[in-house]
Amino acid sequence: MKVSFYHLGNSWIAFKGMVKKLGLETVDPPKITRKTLEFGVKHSPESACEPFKYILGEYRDLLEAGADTIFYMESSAEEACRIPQYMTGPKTILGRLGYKFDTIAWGGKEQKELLEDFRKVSPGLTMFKFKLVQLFGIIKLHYIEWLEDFVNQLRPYAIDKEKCNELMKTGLDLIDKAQSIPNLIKAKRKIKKLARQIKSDRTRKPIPILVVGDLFRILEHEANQHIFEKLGNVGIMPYRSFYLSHYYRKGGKIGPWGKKSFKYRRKFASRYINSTMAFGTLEAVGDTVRALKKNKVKGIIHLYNFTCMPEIVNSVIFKKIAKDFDVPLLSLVSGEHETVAHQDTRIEAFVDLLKK
Amino acid sequence: MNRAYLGVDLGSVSCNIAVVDDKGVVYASYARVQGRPIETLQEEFKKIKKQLPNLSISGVCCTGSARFLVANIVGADVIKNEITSHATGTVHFVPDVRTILEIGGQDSKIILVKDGSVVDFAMNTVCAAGTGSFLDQQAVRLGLETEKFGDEALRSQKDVTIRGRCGIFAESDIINKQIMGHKREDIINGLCRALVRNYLNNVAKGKKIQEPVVLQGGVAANKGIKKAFEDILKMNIIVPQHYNVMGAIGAALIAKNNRIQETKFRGLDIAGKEFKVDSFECKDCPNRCEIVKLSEEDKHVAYLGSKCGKYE
Repeated sequence: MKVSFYHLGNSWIAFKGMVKKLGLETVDPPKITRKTLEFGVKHSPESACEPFKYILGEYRDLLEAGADTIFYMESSAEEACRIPQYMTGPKTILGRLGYKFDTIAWGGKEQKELLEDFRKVSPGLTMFKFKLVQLFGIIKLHYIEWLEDFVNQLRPYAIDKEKCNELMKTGLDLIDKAQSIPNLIKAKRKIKKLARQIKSDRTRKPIPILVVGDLFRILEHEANQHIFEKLGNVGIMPYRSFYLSHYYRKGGKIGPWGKKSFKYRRKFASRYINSTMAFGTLEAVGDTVRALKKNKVKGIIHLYNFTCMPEIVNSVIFKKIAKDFDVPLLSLVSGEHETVAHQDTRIEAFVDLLKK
Repeated sequence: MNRAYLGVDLGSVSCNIAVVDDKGVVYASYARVQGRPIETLQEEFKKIKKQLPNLSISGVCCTGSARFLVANIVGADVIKNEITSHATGTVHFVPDVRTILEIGGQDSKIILVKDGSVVDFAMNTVCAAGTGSFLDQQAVRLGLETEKFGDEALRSQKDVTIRGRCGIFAESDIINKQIMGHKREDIINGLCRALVRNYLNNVAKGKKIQEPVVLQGGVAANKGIKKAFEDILKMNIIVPQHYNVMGAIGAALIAKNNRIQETKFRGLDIAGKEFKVDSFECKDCPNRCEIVKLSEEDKHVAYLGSKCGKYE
């Protein structure tokens, strides 16, 4: 049995760590390329959102790379819109095309039921071990997110930007290899040590902005065309509102984290929106209002997918927020038709606007 | 000798060139690209050389959607996006401008300006209905020259509603109205109004349009569009003198403001040289990037279009 995962940016490394802890063999997912999206576009319903198309393509790539089981995340968070659809849809479509595979879903159910599912692939798994494995996965996810933020916030200061990309690569490698919590801590220390060797100019004053939007576009660098990198290269400090680990903490009911820690977002969002429409929409609004009230950011970039209803509604709310707080807003709609020049021109102009 | 600066705006439809010196605009030209961007640029350079024989350029800025290609050919000092260039140009001519409506060949944008600097902007997102190339197409279909399109609209007395939400739907609606026996000028007027409505609902959605309003870009030549804007917004619309080369003028002004010490400009003589653009598919990874190879006579100049940065 060979297990693989779709990318979701760098999050797959955490899933890989979890699956390895269960004692299963894993296959690294191949890089997303144009072929991935082409396959996805060809075989998915025309009006499906871009993430669906990407993920459908990715599943095919995984199966071609030799995997026979796909590990994916389900959701039990109330606002999840289509994450469950990411499996059932592609599985049906791929089944019709003659691809056969098994799946393991993480999340979406009570722990007891999940344990039953996981026992099928890893016999003799106890509840205690299962909880530990999940906790390890989430902690690893935290480390990955820490690294992403760390590099993103170093990049505007760095003199040689290429060094930051190298740091990201080696950092991910170190985290990938660390299979216990002490090793993760060691990896973090090593990354910090490596970062100190990068020459940077701390007198620069990068402009802080918040990048909000839907889960896939924020996480997947291929889908957002490396927007965090581009912003960092022109002296912008990009913060993001969405973290996958939050989502697990909220919906997974694992460990000490519950829903309480996210109540503040509801409070801040209440002026604009009271109920969630889909994944992360209310949270994004809450986070944006909070950051703006604390005067932390000077601009908002909203990424969303063409044909994504919840984000289209959200784009209107963001317009109102931008007006109320008098900050510039850039809405970037994307679909599979998007060209690089299209997005670059808008980002460039937005940066010019911020710098004035 | 005056210090002169060159601005080049190569877009989807037109190639605009402007020369600016300390006194103001010395030269401005608008030419249609018709699918041959590099040749058009060279022809334009020849014209400048003829008109201004002892011109010496001390800075170049490129803008427009083909700015990276042009920058490699002419040796640009600055590369700027269209929005900043247009705003810079317009502020130079109309210093108190608040709203810039720009409709070009493939894109349309609205730029809000306050005290001479951009405060907000929006560009058309996924649809190019209502831009210059669509009007071009319709003019050909109705058997008119693009330049006369607007005058025809002004003759109309009636208001025919055309659905302008989408280029394809608009076209079928025009055909429908034609079959129903409406006059040509009424249909054209209706089309102009539909495009303006589409622009205001789509691009300018939620933006506060304040006077003075400037309309520019190639489409500003169309008097029907200007009238439709005035009717719908109930505001006075200014169409500046250099409405169609504003991007190039803005670019030249940006070059001027950048205080370039030594220009990288390769001279107007590049008009006589032969540029070859070759494209091939890189087969090293499944991304299959289309790489554009630009060479001057037999010398290699630049590669464009790689995703991974291998060809830089």
